Amino acid sequence: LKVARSSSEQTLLERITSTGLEAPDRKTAFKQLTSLGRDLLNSQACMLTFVDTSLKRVLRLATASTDAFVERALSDRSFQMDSGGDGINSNVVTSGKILKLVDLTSDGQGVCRSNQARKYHLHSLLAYPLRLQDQVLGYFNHFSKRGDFNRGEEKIIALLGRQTLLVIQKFERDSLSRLNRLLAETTEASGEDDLLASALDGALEMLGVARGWVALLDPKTKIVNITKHHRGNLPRQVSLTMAQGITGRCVQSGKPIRAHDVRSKEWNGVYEAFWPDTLSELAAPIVVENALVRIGTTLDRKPKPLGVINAESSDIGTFLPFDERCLVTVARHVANILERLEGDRKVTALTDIQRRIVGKARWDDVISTLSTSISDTLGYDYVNVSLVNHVTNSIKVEHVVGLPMGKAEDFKASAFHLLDSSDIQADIVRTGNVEVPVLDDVRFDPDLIKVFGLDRIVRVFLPLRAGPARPPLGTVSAGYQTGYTPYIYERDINILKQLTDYAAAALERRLRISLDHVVHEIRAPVVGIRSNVSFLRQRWKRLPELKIARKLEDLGVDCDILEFQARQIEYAFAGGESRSYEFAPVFVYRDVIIKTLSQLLPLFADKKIRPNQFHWAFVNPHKLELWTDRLALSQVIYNLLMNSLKYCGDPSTFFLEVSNSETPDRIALHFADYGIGIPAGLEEMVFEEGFRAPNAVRVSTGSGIGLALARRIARDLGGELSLRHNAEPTAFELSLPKKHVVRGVM
Amino acid sequence: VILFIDDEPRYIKNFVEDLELTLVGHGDIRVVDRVDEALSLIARLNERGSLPELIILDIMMAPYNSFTTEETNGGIRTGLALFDKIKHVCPILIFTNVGDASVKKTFEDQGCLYVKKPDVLPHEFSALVRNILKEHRGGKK
Repeated sequence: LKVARSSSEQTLLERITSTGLEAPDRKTAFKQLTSLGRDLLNSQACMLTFVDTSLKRVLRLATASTDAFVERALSDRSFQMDSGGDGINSNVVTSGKILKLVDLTSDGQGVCRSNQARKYHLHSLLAYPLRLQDQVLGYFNHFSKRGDFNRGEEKIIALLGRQTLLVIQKFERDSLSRLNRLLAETTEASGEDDLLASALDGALEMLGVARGWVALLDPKTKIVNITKHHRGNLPRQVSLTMAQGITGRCVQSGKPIRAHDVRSKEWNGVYEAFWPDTLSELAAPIVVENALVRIGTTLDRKPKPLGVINAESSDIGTFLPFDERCLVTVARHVANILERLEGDRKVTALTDIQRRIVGKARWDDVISTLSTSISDTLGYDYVNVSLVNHVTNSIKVEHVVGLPMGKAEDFKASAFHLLDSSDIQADIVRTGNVEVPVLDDVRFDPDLIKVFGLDRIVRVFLPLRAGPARPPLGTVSAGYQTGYTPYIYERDINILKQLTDYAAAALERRLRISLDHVVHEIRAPVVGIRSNVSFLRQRWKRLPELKIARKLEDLGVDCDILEFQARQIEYAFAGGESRSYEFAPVFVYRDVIIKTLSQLLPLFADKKIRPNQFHWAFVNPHKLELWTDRLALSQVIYNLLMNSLKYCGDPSTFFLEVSNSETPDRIALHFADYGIGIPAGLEEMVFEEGFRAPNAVRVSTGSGIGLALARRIARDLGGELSLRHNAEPTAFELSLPKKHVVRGVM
Repeated sequence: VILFIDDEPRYIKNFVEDLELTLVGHGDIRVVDRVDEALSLIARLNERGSLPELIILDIMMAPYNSFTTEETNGGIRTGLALFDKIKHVCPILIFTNVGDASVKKTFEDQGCLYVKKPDVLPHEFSALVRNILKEHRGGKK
């Protein structure tokens, strides 16, 4: 008998320990265990319940009964703890003790209502706690028609309970293994789409469900669009606001949401049904925990919401707290990778912007490229670049992006502040701080804020300077509407700072290069004059007369060049304002063209260009008299001739022709030379201040302001300077209005 | 050979002529106004075993095809790029209008004499060169 009993116990043990572990999923395993319990215990119903302490609910994970009606009635329900009615007494279910209730029909002790017990013949309950470490995960419940339980039943239910724990742990290990694989596979993701697709597939496999989505928050619209990455045949286009549906609420709260039964009162009015048979849902926010943000001038840590990852099931209570923890891990991981990808994207964009800035010759173009890049590439809604004017001791808006149509010019006209004022930009110039002021900071001009709708824009202010030791050239502020987040993240500020520092260095470099060239062009003739004077003084008596004459001629030429250079600076630093011109009758050929060319002939001679390499093709050079400014017109001619000289190429093949023509209302002077030419495509750019064609840079130094100034002066004189042919010959046309003709038109 | 490398020979004419008169019979003076020509001349002199005794080098010059625009910062620092290539040839005297202290320091840190054109008159320059040559020739003996 002993052997027989021992053999039957062995068989029983084998049946229990082989159940559930090979099941394809957790739900099937639980069903197998309750079915086995029902059979072994001859139970009216065996039920596996799960105690969800975080949500204060008890879930019926699986039920098996000999009576199909009872089984259906007891399946698929979850109960709120401590809520009366169907509620479950939390003290009872979290006690961790074996429950033995012998008469449920009179007192369910908060586990089962008495009328329900009577209806389903659930006379007594033996419940074995599923304890893992000090936590009660749930109970293995055996409902009996009888009033009491024997030791055999207690032993079997204990074995079933322990096996249930093993099954739970086995499926948790499987999930962790899938989680690890998912993390490893997505860590090196190279793109957002790949990352989201892999994360979603991995998460759904880990959770053992087939439908779900991953969606990112659009920071501009605050909309979560979930159409792009989903699994399970999403029946329609889906976009949610930040508070809409379980998904939207998850993004808004920044916390995971586990809905055991979306039909329950709790989700009434919240849940948005996209799949009609969904009963439970799990959503985890894709959020960067503890992202560094700047508040004022100090740093703090705040969450940064990016999106949501979601899984759905057609069963009730599919998702347990363990699943939630796993999905939260996936979501955090996705958030970190997204941040990395975004960082990489912005760094790449930064390099691209820097490359564009390098290509900009003009100061205005650098500022314009900087502000539009901050808006278009770095994604800020609002950008303001303001520059310091040391002459007026003020700071003024130079470029603004993000104001309503037509308001930018008004804003630029209004936003002017003295550097010693209490204005925020003046303060940034003084302190050099990088700062995100609160919206109602007293340093904001309340009128400007109100009129231009800046009251809901959170902004970062940075000094525009090439380095910590350099004086600020101005400030940059960038920001966005506060609806999405009230913070500006430090990582974004760092990228912005790198960009503004780079732009400031580029601006300084332009100033420096321009200054170096201008200084060089002034110093060169000064050195010539001084060295000629010194040479003559030292060696006068021993020098032949011809030599002395040449030295004196050089002195005269250098003085002329110096005068031209001085006037060049005068025009260049007029800052766009017209110099005051002195109009008088001028013989254009005699007093301007021929005179200027004569002054420069020694320079051409230095390059071994002989007078027979010049050709005059105009008629009656002494007769055309225009009402103009002689010195200004001479400056235009000087700049054109100096260009011909500098870029003459091979002196032996150089040729310069000056001619004229006439239209009904204009006189045109033509300067055509056979020098190195202007590359095709750069015909207009050569007139931009600071721009120098690559072939010009290669063969001569220069400031790149000669042609720009020549055109500006020509226009100031009522005329126009244009390039008619870019090479072989390089032909410029200077046209002047005929109404200025005093006499002597051809 | 004393070699001037300067893209504006006009403005060093008096310095060259004064030096020629000062060093009559003591050296051949050559002036080249392009860095590519300077490099090929140095190569030719090297082949003949007659490298210059002294190179007098300007800084702001067009790079031609010897350097990229970036290497010379748009021509502003061509002399610096050229110096790196020829500094082992012979002593180099920087003779320039560039007054930037950091540029001056860069050269002086490499043992190079740096003279600003506006700071010196032709006869002073000749005396300076004569001293350098004397020192150099004395050192060789």
